[in-house]
Amino acid sequence: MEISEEVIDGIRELITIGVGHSAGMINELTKAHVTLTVPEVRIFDINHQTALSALDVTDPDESSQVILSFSGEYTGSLSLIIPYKSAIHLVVFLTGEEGSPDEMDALRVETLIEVGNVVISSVMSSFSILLSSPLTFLYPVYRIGKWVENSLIINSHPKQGILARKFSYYQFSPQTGNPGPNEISDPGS
Amino acid sequence: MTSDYASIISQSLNTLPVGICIIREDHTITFWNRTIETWTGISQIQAEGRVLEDVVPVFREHHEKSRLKVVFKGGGPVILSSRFHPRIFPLRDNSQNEGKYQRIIISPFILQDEGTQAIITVEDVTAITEQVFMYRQIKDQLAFELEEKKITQRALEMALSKLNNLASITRHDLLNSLTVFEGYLGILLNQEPGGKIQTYLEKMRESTLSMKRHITFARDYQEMGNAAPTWYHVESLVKNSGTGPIFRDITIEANTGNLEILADPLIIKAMYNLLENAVRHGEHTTHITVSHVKGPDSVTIILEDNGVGVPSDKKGRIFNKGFGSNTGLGLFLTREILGITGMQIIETGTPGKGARFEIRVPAGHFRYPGEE
Repeated sequence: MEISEEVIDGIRELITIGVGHSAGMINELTKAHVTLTVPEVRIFDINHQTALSALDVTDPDESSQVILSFSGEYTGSLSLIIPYKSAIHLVVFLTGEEGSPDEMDALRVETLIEVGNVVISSVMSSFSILLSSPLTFLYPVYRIGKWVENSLIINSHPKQGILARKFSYYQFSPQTGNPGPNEISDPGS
Repeated sequence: MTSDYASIISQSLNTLPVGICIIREDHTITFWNRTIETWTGISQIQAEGRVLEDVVPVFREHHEKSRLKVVFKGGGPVILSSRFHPRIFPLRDNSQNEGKYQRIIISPFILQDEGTQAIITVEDVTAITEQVFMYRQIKDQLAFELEEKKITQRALEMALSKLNNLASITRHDLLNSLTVFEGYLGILLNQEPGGKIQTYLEKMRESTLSMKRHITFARDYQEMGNAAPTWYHVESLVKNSGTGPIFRDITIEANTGNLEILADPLIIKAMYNLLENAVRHGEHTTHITVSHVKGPDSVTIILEDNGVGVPSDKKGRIFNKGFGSNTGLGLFLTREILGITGMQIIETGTPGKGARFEIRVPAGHFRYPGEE
């Protein structure tokens, strides 16, 4: 399906607005300062090969995914995909936890779901201005593994994906320093 | 929705083990279930009909207010985790455990004629939260202890290295001095002084040889356990150990098939000691057999000869250091080498009919490659 540059610009704009709102909420939630860049937006068919090429990878790493499925006027899902290790570091930095950030325990998963939920809800809220009737949502779920192998994504219909990829920098109060970049992708379908 | 149907739904929601509160878009509470009533101490009558922020003041806070707004703006369900919002709904008693840590999910739904509503689900995650805290504490403690152990291990390795170096240098210098001493002793003996001097010099030479053997033992003993154990094919081990002039007239037969054992690299020396022992002390040994017997959780290697055997009064002492008619170190060292990988050795032969050594190899330390 050919999508015009104007539509892609519109999608980029809506994602930027949504993520911008979510950045403000994460700032409040965590007392951290989140700087976000304008996302790169791509439209692609969802299958293993095209997804890999859209993600610019040949063998994707394990990732943490927060997925929100919806149906109604539009049907699909919105996933926040963060490389697994970055996700652990993100949660540890956002919560200011002490101790070794080596695994994703139940509390960290719950925290990441909330952070992912803040981003996803803001983006969905931003997209809702295009809708004439409200959508129906499932609860957000957490998945771990390779995103392109996730059955929720692979079995989705229609098989059209939007990839919004960005590198985000989480800046903290002076005493905690800057933990560096985290790659965040928001593929929605 | 008919009033009967609404009543069924309401009764069902009251039986759930999670707190449930339903609000309209203007935040008026339309439903407050029994679980949340129990946790908060706020009755359905007190809550229903009032504005959410008046009953649950945390929703007046800017962040929680914004999140709630997202739900009604079409953003989908909102999750408030226990990590960032430990307790949103007030508790009946601040010291109670129920609802101490809460996970909130706010989800929109549309009710015909009544527009968008939001269902707020309150999960009590106290047990899992406290378990994770405890698990993290244990993990941190283990990590700390592991680090301590690593430091101790490094210190021990350094100390061992120093001791090994010291022992090695001392042995080397001692052997050099002994060689010089032995050389002069040889010169003196070659002059055949005779009488008591001759006797004393010969005793001195015996003593020198004994000292050399002690030094050799010290070297072997030091090497024990220094290298990681590896797998040895028993038949090859026997074949390689039973070579040399001493075994020229001896038939050595090994019937252990593909049996392999996990052993310290000095096992070669231990096997040689056992075979040499059979020849040296057997007096008329001509045949040595090595076989094995499989047990339920171990395997026993049996080494038998047709020599004179071990006298009954000596059986209990043959593995002691210093016992024996030769160096007194062979069987002691053999037992120590076998013991590194958990093997045990005993002597079960019949005096007069030959010696019989049984080596018990524990589970996990033997294998039969190629067999299931």
